[in-house]
Amino acid sequence: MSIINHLFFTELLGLRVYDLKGRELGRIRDAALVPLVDAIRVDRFLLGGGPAWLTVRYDQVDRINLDGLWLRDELLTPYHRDEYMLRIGRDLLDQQIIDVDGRKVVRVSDVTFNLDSSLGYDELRIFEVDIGLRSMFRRVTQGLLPRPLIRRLMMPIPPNSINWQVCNIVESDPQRRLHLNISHDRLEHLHPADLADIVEALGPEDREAIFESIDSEVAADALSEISPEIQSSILESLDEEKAADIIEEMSPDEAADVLGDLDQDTYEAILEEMENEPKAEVQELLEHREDSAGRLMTTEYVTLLTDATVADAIAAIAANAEIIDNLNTLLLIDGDEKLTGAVPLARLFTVAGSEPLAGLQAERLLSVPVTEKQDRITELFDKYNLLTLPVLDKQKRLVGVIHADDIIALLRSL
Amino acid sequence: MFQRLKYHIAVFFSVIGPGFITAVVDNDAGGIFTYSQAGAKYGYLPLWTLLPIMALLIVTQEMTARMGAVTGKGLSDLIREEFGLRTTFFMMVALIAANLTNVMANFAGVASSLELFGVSRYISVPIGALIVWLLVVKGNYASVERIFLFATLLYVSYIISGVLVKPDWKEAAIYSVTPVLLFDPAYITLLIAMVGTSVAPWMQFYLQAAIVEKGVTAKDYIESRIEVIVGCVVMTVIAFFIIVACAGAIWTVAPRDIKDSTDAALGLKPFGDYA
Repeated sequence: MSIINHLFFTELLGLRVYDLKGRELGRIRDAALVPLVDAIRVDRFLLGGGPAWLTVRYDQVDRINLDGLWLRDELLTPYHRDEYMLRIGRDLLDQQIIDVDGRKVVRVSDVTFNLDSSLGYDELRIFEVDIGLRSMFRRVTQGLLPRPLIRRLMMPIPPNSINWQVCNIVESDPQRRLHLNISHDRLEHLHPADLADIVEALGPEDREAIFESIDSEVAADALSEISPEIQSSILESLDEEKAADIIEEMSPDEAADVLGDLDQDTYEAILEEMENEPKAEVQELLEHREDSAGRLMTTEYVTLLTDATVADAIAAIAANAEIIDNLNTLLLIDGDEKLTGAVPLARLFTVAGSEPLAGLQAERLLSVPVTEKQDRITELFDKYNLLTLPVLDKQKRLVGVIHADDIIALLRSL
Repeated sequence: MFQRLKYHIAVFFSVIGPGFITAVVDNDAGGIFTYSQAGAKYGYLPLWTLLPIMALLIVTQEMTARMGAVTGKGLSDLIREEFGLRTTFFMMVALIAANLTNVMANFAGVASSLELFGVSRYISVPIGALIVWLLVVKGNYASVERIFLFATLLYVSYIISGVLVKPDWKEAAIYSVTPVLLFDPAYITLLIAMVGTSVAPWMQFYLQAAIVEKGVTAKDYIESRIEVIVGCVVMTVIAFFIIVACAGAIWTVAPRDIKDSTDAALGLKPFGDYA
């Protein structure tokens, strides 16, 4: 028997277990981690032979290889309570997990363990989750061919595995998430659009689980990237308080879009839970017709008085740090909030701080009334290559702006 | 007038979706051939199988639609989660085999139906394959759904020809609810073929995927359920008319075997050119 340094879960399954005298006790039916104790060590081997399963703890194992598992301690206990166990065969195999590095949802075909003998006896540590054809080949042939032969036959197939460190398990039961020490923290570092794709690939229960447990700000960013039907189903499944927290973190126009699609009961329940200020903004937007400029615009923008200087502008931008990523134009207004000009952001860098903004204005000042039809607006964006388009109310006062990304989203949804 | 017609068509398209399409398109070339065969050879006798077939179809289709709406996952994904990869693998192999025979039956249908119009099968089959290939590769789900929906409208012609051949309605009604079992191997095989062609495996996979794709959730599932049931009923009605038409046109004249769907169409010819 050659010495091996790794073992697949498919090889572990059905492996014979021998006692101190070398007699066979049964076969391995599953293995489990206890994540609260150790995140990667296989803590229990579940042994079936008689009518009930027995539990082999990791410190009762002497040797493991492709021929069997030999015990060094025979005092095995029956298997019953398992709320702290992540059972590989039951909870991981064939289930969906999130590959945080590859930013996608994958289905587990097999698991690779490292076989560690440095302590004088053998321990298995979970190393990789296998998803490719090679692991599928192992699953299909498992138990039908001898283990060493399967290893030889699979060699021509390229492996496809994900390191355990970047795997995120999705568990919809909050109680079990605690017991299994599962968190969705790592998902919060993904780009919102990637997180949105991941969430769309999952089933409704798992979607809810993720949105329940991640930070509201991240949830808001991701939610605005998700398709409208799924948005509604997620918000309707969350409790109102959490849903309201998420909506408050969204920009008013996106919040209005999302709320506008909900059924009446959920809509009212969420609005009830919202803080006054964002609620008023959203309600105002929702009063506009569905296909009008009013529903497309956001009320987050930066304005300056006509006589302001570049230094004033930079100070104003710094004061609006939360919308800085989406800012490309500054708007100039007079004392009555009437729009007088627009300054492309990049022009600020071409002059000294004391220069007046009025000299940096774009030559053509375009704007639309709040009632303008959406197809007319997309036409304007296309024709004049706009990034930002101001929206005016009946009295010609500035009430919002439409960004190019809103237009792209609108066109994509047609 | 045209405006109103357009409006009605729009309503039809907006209400009807995957549940309806899947059930109605189930009457494919293989299905039509089997039902024609049944009517031509045994007349009204096999009609009683349609009600149990409809029940079976409603149960399986409604179940997969429900699984799709609740879990948001496809059928093969659920099978894999519950029964493991090996079971899924062999299931998929079986599905591919079943689909392959289904596809062959349908291309045979294309060949024989166009030969009726004097188009050689060596031309019609490659062209048919090319159109299917284009639809699969270039078409999106919405356009394929539209084409399917349009195709379902063509089934109305079977109902018309069923009425045109003036069958014995009383006998048809009686045999629809009177089980008749002949211990004739050909008859038994035919009954099995009828069940097999009506409840085909691709339907469950297609329907569940379509329900998931459409974003149907448990909350608005009730509409999909109605649609599935209506579809299954319509499918059964069409099958009923195919059998009745062939019984009226062929069996009453001289009971015989028919070799392909063209044969069936030709048998109906004296009664209308639409068959």
